[in-house]
Amino acid sequence: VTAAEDTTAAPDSDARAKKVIAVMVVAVTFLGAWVAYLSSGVGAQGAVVVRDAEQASIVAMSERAAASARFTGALAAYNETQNARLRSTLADTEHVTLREAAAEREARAWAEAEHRLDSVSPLLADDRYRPDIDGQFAFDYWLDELEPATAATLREAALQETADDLGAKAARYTTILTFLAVALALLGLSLALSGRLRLYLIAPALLIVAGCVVALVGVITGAVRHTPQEAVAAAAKGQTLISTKDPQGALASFEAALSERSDYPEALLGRALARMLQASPDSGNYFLTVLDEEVLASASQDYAAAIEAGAEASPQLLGSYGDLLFRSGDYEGAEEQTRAALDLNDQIPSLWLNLGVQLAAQGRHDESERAYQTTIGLLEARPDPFERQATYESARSDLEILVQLEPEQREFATQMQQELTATETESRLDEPLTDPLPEGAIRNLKMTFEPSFITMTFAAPDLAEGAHLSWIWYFRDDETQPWQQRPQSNLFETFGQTDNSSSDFGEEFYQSLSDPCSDGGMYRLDLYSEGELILQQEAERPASTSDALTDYYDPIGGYSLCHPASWDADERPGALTLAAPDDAGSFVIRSAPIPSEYDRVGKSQLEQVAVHSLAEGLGALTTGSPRPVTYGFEQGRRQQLVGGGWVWAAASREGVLRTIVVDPAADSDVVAEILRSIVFSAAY
Amino acid sequence: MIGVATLTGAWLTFTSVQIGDAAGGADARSTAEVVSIEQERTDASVRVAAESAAVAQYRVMLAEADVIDGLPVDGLDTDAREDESRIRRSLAENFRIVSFDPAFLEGEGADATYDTAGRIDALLRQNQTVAQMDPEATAAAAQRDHGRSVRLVGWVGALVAVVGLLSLAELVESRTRPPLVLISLVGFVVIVVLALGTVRGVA
Repeated sequence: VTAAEDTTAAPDSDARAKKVIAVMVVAVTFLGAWVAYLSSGVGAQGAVVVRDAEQASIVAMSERAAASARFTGALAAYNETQNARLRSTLADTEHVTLREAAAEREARAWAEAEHRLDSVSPLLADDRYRPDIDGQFAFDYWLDELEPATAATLREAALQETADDLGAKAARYTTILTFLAVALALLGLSLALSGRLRLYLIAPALLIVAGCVVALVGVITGAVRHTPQEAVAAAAKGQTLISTKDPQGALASFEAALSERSDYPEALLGRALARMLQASPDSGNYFLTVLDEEVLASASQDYAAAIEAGAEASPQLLGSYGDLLFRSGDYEGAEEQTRAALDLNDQIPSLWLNLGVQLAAQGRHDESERAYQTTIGLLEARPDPFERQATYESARSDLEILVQLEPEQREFATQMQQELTATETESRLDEPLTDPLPEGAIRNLKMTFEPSFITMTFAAPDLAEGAHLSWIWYFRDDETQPWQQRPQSNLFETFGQTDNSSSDFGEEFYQSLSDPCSDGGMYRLDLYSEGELILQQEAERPASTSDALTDYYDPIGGYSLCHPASWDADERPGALTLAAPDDAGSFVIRSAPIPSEYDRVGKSQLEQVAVHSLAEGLGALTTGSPRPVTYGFEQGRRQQLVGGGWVWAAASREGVLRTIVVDPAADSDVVAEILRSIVFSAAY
Repeated sequence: MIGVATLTGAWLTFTSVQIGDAAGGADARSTAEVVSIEQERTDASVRVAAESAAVAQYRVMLAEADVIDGLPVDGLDTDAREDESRIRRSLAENFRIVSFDPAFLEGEGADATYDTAGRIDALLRQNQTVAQMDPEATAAAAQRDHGRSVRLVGWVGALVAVVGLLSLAELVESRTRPPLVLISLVGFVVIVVLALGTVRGVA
């Protein structure tokens, strides 16, 4: 009986087990169907986002082409009006300097024509773009026109990021489906077995299903990165403002973008750059000289967050991050990032340069020197001379940052600067270097600072024709900053042979260097003979009378000068009117060809006529007689006016009449600074 | 019944794939339309920018001619001045005829302005094929198809549930079988009706 009962109990229990397994199969199948549904939904979403990203990319290309066309058209139209503008200015100058009645009518007619043509180009019609002589206004217009293209590019990148996340999600669903299929197979197989053997298949199947359920919860709740349109627009604005050198405005835009999406990589990187630009004392140049710990720390955080949030790890991004870490003093982290960048592209000289200085900071001189040699090798193979020049300048500046961070590395830094300078000298002058002058061969070097240039006089009895001298200049605001090179501020000469060669005045030699209008600061000259450092001398440029000076160059009128940035400048070809804030005086400089009817009039007589005409035009009486005064290497006559102002006129041998009118209210120290900066050159 | 439900599920899966393919095609069509429109827009922008520069030349010539006409007679050769003025006006007229579309000039002489936005619109309308394209509508259609395809997959999932219920009915005791079969049947009918609505684009 017992045996009979056993034989009937076994099939019952097997049938029950099979029923349970069948239920499990149905449940897993249903779970699989649901996962397939989710996967299908995410896949469809991804397809739509990929399509939108492709379309944004097309729109970006089209916007860029359209912006280029609009810019070219606007610039061409603007250029068309320049004849009327120049004629109006010249006739006006002729009128005010020579009191010609016909010139006055002509000036009026041309001015009216100029005004009528204002609507010809957005560069004239739009108040945001005030024509200046160096074309910055046109560049601003170009950047504004480009902003929609920048936004479209950023939108494409943001959509691509979303598509990547959706793709990854769909791939995870597929993985789950695959595991569920394995679990189903195991459950199915278990039906063919009996007893304990069945359990060996059911148990792993259930474990797989449990794992899939946990993974499924993770995938479903996993976030997909999405960048709101407002964040994209704000980041595009920020990038435009960075280009127009408005780091403060850019910072506000990037902050606005981050308020929409706190981990938006483009905005994080932009914010880091804006902060560093804002804190760079010499941010007008292309070097970031920031060493402020707080700024560097926040910039590093932004970079790390951007990389964490999925910013594309390009060699440039990793290289910049490495440089940032180096400035922050994290040399090992810097090296790690730079090596990661080099793994992506080891043909970029600046990356090897960064590696060199980062290794030097860790005292690994042999490795550092090898990195510098690689830099030089790669750099000398580059075809662009400006890139080579900028990289050499950057290399020397980075070594100065190293000295600032690690003063004990000074000797190595000097040695590397010497190697870099020797190679650059040989490359620039295209001649082999010979024996250097002995130390002390250049004596009594005196530097004189003018607002827009520096002159140097020195004694050098042993200096012979063919000697190679390299004048390497460094600048800094104060001792807390590292020495930095300014772009294109170095001189390389083959004495007596190259155009920029030092002038020999017998007992003394003379060399000069143009220098951007400066508000004062510290200068250091490293003088190399045949690539060897023979003299190092520091000097301080006295602070400017004005808060900030700005450069001005008029290629048509043929003059350059420095003026306070706070003074309003009306820039026209051949005429510049500077007005102090709150109507506190003005300074007007003009330049025009001398009319043919004055061909037979002598220089002195013409200058007399001009100074009296200018005084008459101002309605001022003259006091005393005109006296000869030289400005910008041009000798002319200066006439004092009753009440304190004065006028000056110079008729050059090249047939150009130059005049200056100074309002009595103008600050005499500021005016003196402007006058000292003037350099007249060929005109018309 | 299990067989019918399974076959229906297979058919819905096949239809879903087909609709998904159609959605992908519509996506590609929408992108192609964007390419065509943007190409046309770029061409128009480049052309109108060149025309604007020509209009500028036209206006400058007329403005200069006006200045020359108004200059004081003294010291100037009247004939030479008139010649200069005439040459400028002739050149300006030539520009007006060949370098831009005078229909879009607003105003007269040197003060005339060029309606660049209107001109670009007109150029875009000239290409009928491109003018009739509506990538947003195509993209919306693609989006609808994507939705239908995904919903059909959902109905397939629901049919799997029906098959599951029917399988359970097979396993359970005979007295609980009828309600399970009934529920499955009703579910099957509802699912098929809704799925057909999805296929036809109404659900």
